[in-house]
Amino acid sequence: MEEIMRFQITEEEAREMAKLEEECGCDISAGPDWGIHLDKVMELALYPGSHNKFIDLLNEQFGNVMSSEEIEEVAASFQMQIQERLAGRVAS
Amino acid sequence: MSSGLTSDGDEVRLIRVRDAASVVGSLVPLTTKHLDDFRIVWRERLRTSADEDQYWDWEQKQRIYLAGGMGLYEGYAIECEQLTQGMMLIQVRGYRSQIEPTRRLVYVHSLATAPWNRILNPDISGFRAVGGALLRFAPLRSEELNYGGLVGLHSLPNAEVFYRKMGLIDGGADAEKENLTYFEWYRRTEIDVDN
Repeated sequence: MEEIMRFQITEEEAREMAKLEEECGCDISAGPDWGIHLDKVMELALYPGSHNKFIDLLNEQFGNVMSSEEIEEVAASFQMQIQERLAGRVAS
Repeated sequence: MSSGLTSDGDEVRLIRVRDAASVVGSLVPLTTKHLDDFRIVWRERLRTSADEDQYWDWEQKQRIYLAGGMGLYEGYAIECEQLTQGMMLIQVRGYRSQIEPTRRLVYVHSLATAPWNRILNPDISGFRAVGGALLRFAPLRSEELNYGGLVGLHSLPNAEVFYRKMGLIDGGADAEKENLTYFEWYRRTEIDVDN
């Protein structure tokens, strides 16, 4: 049974966290995503020879929420669309 | 389903950079308003930055994980002065502790603060404690779910020092997650929670 709890950050806690942020001199962020390796994703998406690698990457990221058929469909559609759009930009 | 936050959101104090005043913000479930703020206000500033999340797309995250994630994920945002100050996506099922694999945990899938709230891009209109406040919510959600407050996350490189100072356990680089360092907020419990 889930017990609902009230969440609150007091001024004292906020000042403590702000001080810690300043001391660490860093931004608070978390999470693996394509953003950090976007260049790799683009390379895999653009070159037909990389199709299987691209599917592997999609599986790694979304295998827990999408079936392999869905992932293959997404990969094929993404590669096609990105290539068409880039071709359109080059032609215009 | 999201945590039982109050209808106006739960109160979160933030520190305004301009005058070091404490101001009231609120933690609320992620909605289209926050995604609109991301698209209209955040994105352009991120794209011109060199930040590690500069290509993150929160609209895509919402579509894939919240709309299509079969209830595995929950999204939250902190609002203050009518703007989205930070967003977090957590996975509430399917993750287990690396330290004690019989126990479940809440996994912080993505966490980011608005571009103007970042120490590395100083901005007088920003706020401090946004990321920390989002992060502090994760163990509470873990408690609510009877996971004993356990939380796991993969840190972006520049945030590692913060997680170490917060007392999270460093699990080392994870080759399956872009070599990002895995951290876990771990607490021993007398009851073995394996539900």
